[in-house]
This record gives sequence, C-alpha cells and structure tokens, in this order.
Amino acid sequence: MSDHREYRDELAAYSLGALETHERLEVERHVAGCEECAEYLLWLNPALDLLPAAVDPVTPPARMKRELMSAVQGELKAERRAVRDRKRSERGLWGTIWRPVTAGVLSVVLIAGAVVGYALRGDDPESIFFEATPDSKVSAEAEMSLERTGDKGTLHIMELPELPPNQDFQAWIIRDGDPEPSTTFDVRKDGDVEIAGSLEGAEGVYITREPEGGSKKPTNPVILRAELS
Amino acid sequence: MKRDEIKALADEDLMVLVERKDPTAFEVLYDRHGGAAYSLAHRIVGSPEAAEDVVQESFLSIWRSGAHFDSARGSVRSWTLGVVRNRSIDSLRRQWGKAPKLDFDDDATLEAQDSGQLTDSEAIRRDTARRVRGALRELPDEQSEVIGLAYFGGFTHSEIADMLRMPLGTVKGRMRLGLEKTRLLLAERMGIRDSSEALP
Repeated sequence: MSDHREYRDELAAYSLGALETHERLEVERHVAGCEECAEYLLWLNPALDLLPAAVDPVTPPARMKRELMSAVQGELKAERRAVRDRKRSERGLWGTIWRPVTAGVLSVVLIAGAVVGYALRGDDPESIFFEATPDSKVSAEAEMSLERTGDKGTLHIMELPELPPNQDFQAWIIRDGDPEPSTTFDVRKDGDVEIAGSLEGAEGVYITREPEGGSKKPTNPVILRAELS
Repeated sequence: MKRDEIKALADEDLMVLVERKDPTAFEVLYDRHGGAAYSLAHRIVGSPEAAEDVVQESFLSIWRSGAHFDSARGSVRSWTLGVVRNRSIDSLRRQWGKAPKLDFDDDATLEAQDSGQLTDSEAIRRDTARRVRGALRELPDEQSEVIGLAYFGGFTHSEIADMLRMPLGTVKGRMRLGLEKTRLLLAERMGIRDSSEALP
C-alpha cells in the first residue's frame, strides 16, 4: 500500500468541492508535486463529470439565450469602441504634439534630422478614421469605421446584419465613381477587415452582400458606405 | 469562419475562438451546454429565476475569461458545468444558507412528462440521467447522502459532519468510497474506457 492511500479521503472531498479554502490550497500544493495523487484525481474525474447528468433535464427559457447574447454583443461593442477611441486618441496625440516636437528637436540638433524625420514619416504614416453610413433600409444597426493608413485601409465593423447562407460580405473601393472589387469576408456582426488593394485616389469604400467568393460588380444594395473626403 | 463551420468544431476548438471573443463560437458553446448548465443550476438553487441568473453569470464569466480553460484538466463540458456548479453554490449560500437533498427518485416525474415534445438531444440527456441515477442508487444511502450534500448542496465536509453528527473522518471516508464506487459503476454501465477502470 502506498503512503498516499490515506490521502485519498482528502482528494475525494477536494473533488466534491467539500474542503475549506486552506485545505483546498494544501491539496492543490500536494497534488502539484505528487504524480500518484494527481493520477487518482484524474481517475475520479468521470464520476464527477457525470454527477450533473443525474439531474432532471430542464429546458431553459429562450429569453435567457437572447439576453445572454445581447449582453455579450454589448460588451463586445463597448470593447471595440474603446479600442477604436484609444487608437484615435493615440494617433491624434502623436500627430498633433509629439511628432512635430520630435521633428523640431531633430532638425535643430542634427543636420541629418531632416533625413531622419523624413524616414520616420515614411515608416509611420498617420491613420485617419472615416465613419461609414449604414443604409437604413438594409441595416440601421450596422456600424463601420474605415481606418486609412497611407494607401492601406482597415474596416472596423460592428453589428453587421445576418449573412444568408452561401453569401459573403464584400468591400468595394470606389474610384472615379466606379466600384472595384476588394476583400470578401464573412465576419459575423463584429470584426476588423483589411482591405485588399490601394486606397490611392479612392473616393470611398462600400460594403455589399455578394454570392460566396465575391462578385466582379455589386449585385446587391450597399449596406455601408465610407466616403473618403 | 461561417456559422456552419463553427458548429462543426470540437468544444476545445470552440474555446479557442471564444478566447478570441468570437460571439458565434460563444453562442454555439451555449447551445451545446446551456441546457445541461440550466438543469444543474435549477437542481441546486431550486428556482427558475435564480437558475437563470446563475447560468447568465456563469456564461458571461466564461465569455470574459475563456482563456482560463485548461484542456489538460478535463473537458469543456466538465469545466463549464464546474463553473455553473460553483456559482450555484455561491448563490445558494448567499440567499438561503440551505442545501437541497439529493434525490435519485425522479424517474416517475420524467415518465409523466410528455416525451412527444422532446428533441433528440433532450431524449438522450434524459436517458443519460436515468442511467446515471440508476448507478447512483446502488450506492449505500450514507454514501450518496454525503456526496449529494457536498456536490449539490455545497456543504463542506465539516458542515456535513456537524449536520449528520458524525466524525469528520467518517464523512470523508464515505465520500471517497461513494465516489470510487460511482466511478467503477459508471465504467461498467456507461462504457467509460478512457482511463483505467481499476483503482490506480
């Protein structure tokens, strides 16, 4: 018989959540360094896993899921807004204060400052945000902002409408009044999407629903439009 | 990733997406385990309203801290139901300071319910519940009593010892014997073969 057999009463009580806090912590410390006791705990697991199955199945009200998902969407939305606002704030601070100061100091101190400043500017182009307008007939809830950094763009999307089966969302870059096909994506409700293609000379970015894989020309009404002006 | 693709994922893969704050993955997780979670909470706290609160709080905590799931320590279902069980016990202690007794004689109630309304998954869950209860009924009363008071009632071993007026060592011994027997019975009845059936 192993020395640890006598410890099994503690382990069983631990499995059932029946120990006081200090006892529980002591067991956890012991198990962390004792292979035999860890193995015994694992062996007990199936019995504990099935205890909940002994209760009568009761169907939860449908309302519960709606409320839960609404809370989750609310938290997600708030988090994304916070991230977006923080990014804007950081970019704004950098653009309005620190970058000119840094460039000024560099230009005074070093003759080469101008060269360095130019290099910094080239490596860290400013991001500009453009708010998109949802088409109220298709989705009044959808929200999107377009973050433009140089000729690259990222869409920050919230509350997109339900995507029917076999369809994708597709971004269109509007240039000279014509839509050029860009990224297709299937983000549900919320997400960030990199736009494929250059925004150089673009007038806007629109979003539509298209057959899976995308289209060469828009086949459905525009859901969201961000004007780059 | 589309909903149908997400629905086809194993629980462990779903948790990776939940950790990345994918609401669709979270919804699928709820669809899979919300029913069992609600049933367990309802059994412990004893009222639909309190069970709803417990399940909502539990799933929101999973949404906020999905990264805490550790696949090495058990299945997603066990982990989820563990979260629900702990919150149910907290709720019970906050509100009532009492524990429901463990009752394995619910089959008659189940039989009386309209089985025509059951979905396949509900029917499977009921069948599982019957089989598990069947195994638990074979435990000596004194063992099922302490297991029920601890697991469903949230009482500590010292509280149970006070309640039943018996030495602490006896309570813990009965817990161990009951769990070991349950483990062996379930291996025999439910076909659990994923670990050694003999005591390690």
